Amino acid sequence: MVPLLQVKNIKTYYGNICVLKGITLEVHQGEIVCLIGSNGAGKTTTLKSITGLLHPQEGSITFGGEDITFLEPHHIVEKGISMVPEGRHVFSKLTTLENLEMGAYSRKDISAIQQDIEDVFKLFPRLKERSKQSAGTLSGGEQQMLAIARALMAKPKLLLLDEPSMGLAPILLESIFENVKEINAQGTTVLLVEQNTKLALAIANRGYVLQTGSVSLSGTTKDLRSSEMVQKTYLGIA
Amino acid sequence: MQKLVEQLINGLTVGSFYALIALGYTMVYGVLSMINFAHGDIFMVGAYFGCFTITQLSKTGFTESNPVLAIIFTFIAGAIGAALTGITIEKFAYRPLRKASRLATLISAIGTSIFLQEFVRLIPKFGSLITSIHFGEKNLFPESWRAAIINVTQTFGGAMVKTYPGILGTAGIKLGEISISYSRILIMAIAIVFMVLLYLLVRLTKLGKAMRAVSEDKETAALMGIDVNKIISNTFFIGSALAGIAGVMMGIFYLQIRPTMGFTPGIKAFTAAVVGGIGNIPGAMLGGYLLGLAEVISIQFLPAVYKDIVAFAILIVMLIVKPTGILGGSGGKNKL
Repeated sequence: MVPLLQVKNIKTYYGNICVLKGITLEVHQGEIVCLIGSNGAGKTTTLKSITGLLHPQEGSITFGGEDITFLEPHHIVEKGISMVPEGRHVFSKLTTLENLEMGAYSRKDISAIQQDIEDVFKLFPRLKERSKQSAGTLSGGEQQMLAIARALMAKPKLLLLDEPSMGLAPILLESIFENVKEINAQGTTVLLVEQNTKLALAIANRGYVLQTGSVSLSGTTKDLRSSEMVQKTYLGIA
Repeated sequence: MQKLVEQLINGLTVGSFYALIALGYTMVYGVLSMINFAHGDIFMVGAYFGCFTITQLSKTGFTESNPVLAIIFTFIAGAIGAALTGITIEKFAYRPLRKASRLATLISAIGTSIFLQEFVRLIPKFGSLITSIHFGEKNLFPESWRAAIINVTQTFGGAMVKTYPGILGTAGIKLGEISISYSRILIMAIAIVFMVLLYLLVRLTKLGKAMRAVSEDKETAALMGIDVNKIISNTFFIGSALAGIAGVMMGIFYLQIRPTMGFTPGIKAFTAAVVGGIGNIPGAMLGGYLLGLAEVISIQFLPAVYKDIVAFAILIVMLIVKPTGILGGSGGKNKL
């Protein structure tokens, strides 16, 4: 089966610095795949290369069999990839509702948008209460919900999540990860970048371990959990 | 009393110019965090497009038979001419420098300002230059074309002052002791209509929301599927069109236009935008009217030549007391 997303040996630079030294990974329809690794391993850069915010100098990225390596971000959204950026990045001066409308910016089926807003409100009832409030006044957890809801408004085939756990209280963490599972169960494929390795391995089907710009290990989450290297470095089990 | 009211109306008229031009500064600052110092010259270009249009319409007698339509066409020509100039400037003078230092963009803006002034001044020279191109005995253009090109370029620009035909004259209405000319009424009404339209556009339309999103966070806006370059281009289009409208108003009101006419209103409108809180749209409107009123009030107490000093004194005081402007947020984070 052709993978939904196929990243082949990409090398991405920031100026002269080579951040990704040849990353290869694939995500199949319906999966949750996680990328784990420490700070500076290249997780976010990988996501930015997929969404077109950065373009790799070598290698290729195909989505649904189509080469998207050098497309601009707004065209990649139209293809069906949307991202929840690290640190949420909600538009703080726009209201919750306007943020959701921005998420649906590239869609042509305007009449269906209203129904989808209702649907994401069902997933995140808190957002409905806050719909007229400017997003900057929401709490950190609510902003994370909004960032996810906003990305869903694009009706993505593939949802990229960058560190959804960052800065969240433990009790919220579990509910956000429950939401991610639910989104996946409803048919959206998920690529998750997460520093909280334990949680990431708990909900994903497969994972890739990134170290200084390369994939050092990959496999099913079961394999990764039993790997001595993962246990020592990322799970803190001696 | 009568004198005071007339001066207030005068202040609101001048304020209308400043407010409309200030909106362009503030919108561009909102999306790009840069001061478009060529904006005053875009205003000038708008005045020239308007002047060309109304001069042609007057020659054919159209203005006399349909004065209202003639004025509308003049405004449309000024707005569109300025808007196209604005998006061209953005594309060629600013977009290549998007990731460069602020100083580079500033220098590019000042260079563009000089370019526009000189271009308008030299248009008749370009006309005669183009028509003199010939290969051996044969000219590039046939005789009739040459005459047309020279005619158009000479009507459009040049170093000499151009004059708007006085369509509205000095007629007006009288309310008791106070008389208000139609041109003032027209200017204030048009300014207010376009400010309301702009406000609604930015608040309620998809384009307006996208402009605000781009103004806050370009990278995330791109992740939403927003074509950031297109939104920036549209912002220049709208801001420049408003400046073009102000340029035509200036022509209709003061009748005379010249290539350097953009400098003083441009820098005053910039002052207005900063006083109101640069990046903030209602702030630009408020700043424009405040500056217009402050100028005419100062004339009551000081010799008229001091009115420019008053405007810039307000700017300096504002920068000391509240650098973010009256309606500006904290930390220079003004967003549309």
